[in-house]
Amino acid sequence: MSDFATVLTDQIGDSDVTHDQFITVSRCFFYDFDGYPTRLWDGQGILRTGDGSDWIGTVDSGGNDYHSVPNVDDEREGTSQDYTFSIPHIDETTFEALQSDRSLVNGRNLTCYLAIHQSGEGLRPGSPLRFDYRLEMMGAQFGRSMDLSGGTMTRAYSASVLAKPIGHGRSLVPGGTYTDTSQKLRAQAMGLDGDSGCGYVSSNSTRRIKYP
Amino acid sequence: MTYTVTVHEWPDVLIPSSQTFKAGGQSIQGGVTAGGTLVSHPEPGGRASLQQKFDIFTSHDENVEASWVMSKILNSSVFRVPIWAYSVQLVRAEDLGASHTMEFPGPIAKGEELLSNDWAFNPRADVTAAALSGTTSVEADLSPWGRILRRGHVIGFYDSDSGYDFAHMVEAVSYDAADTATITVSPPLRRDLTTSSKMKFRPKMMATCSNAREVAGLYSVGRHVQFSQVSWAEALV
Repeated sequence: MSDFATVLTDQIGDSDVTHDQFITVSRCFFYDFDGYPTRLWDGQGILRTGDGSDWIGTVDSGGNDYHSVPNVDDEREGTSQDYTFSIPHIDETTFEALQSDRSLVNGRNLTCYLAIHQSGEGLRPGSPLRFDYRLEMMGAQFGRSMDLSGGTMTRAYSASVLAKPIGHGRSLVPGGTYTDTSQKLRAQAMGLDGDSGCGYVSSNSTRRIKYP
Repeated sequence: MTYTVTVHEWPDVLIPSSQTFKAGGQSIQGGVTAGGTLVSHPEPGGRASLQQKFDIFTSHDENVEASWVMSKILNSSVFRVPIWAYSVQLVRAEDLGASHTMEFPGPIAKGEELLSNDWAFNPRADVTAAALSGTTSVEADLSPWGRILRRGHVIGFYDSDSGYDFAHMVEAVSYDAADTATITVSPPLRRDLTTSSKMKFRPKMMATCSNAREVAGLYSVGRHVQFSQVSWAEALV
């Protein structure tokens, strides 16, 4: 059992315990933009985890969470949904880099972890993070807004990330031609010497099968 | 290019008549327990808050400084706000071996700003063990004064690298035989502490005003203004 699960079970107690049990678990989101890893958590302040990472809290003093996260379903039920995550405030350096080179976003992973908080730990959870789900980032839309109030100009950069589960696209029909020549060409395109997987296809096209 | 916050010093002549410092964090909705109750529980971390009430300002200095403050708080500027001295939330001056008169500013000379770094009573205890930011436990040497700190008091730290002040509520304190106090603080430490750090008994905090529009009053006959209750939220700088 992982350390996270051990701590969680200890906090829950035995099955015949009926009094109030408080287990505080918060979500930590890791956007693995290439060269600009962005870590956010749904709380206030900076969360520091045992691997040396700092996670930025997205909740303000009024309790508003500025990081918009959709409900992510379990993809094992057969569909892969589109999920849109919104980061309304992103720093200028990350914004400029990601907007000019979309390959830093597309195909990279967005991972959600769970952090368990025990009393007395403050913002440094002692237990390791537990993996919750992973999505693949399909692309991002970027926005820039300017606010001119009271003589001060404020620029805000935002990003809206579209993500799909890792298993997306698996049910799509391959859409290729099943001939020996095509298969060999496909293998060459992938840098391989050859592929004899379709060598018997032509002899299968008109075949008599005798049932005893 | 690093972004540094512009910090404004709260004018020392603007002294509140009432104030309360709180640091509990918010309540998060939980689930339903096996006993059948819908529970809420404390969030990890949280943010400190300070409420202050002011009487009508009588001196010329106070009213002109108030004019500046009323404009500055509107755009969520970050202020360094002192937790004013004559509150039971701060350790008493007598326990720290001083009299009251060292805590309040005199009149400001024309054209000058009077900042409390120059004149104010600023007793500090040595921090005896390093502590990382984000943690909630601090050790300090209180032997010069004895066991004067108790839960409910507010203490603070000044971080010289950033130039920011942080104030914390003492949630629990225990002492050893040498009067070294082990203190549990809320909110968690915002910067690392080393054994050369000092714990302040007259703390300040970096805050933004959450109700700026209600605070500003009108100058009656152009001379005297009264603020409505000011709500400060800790600025996470």
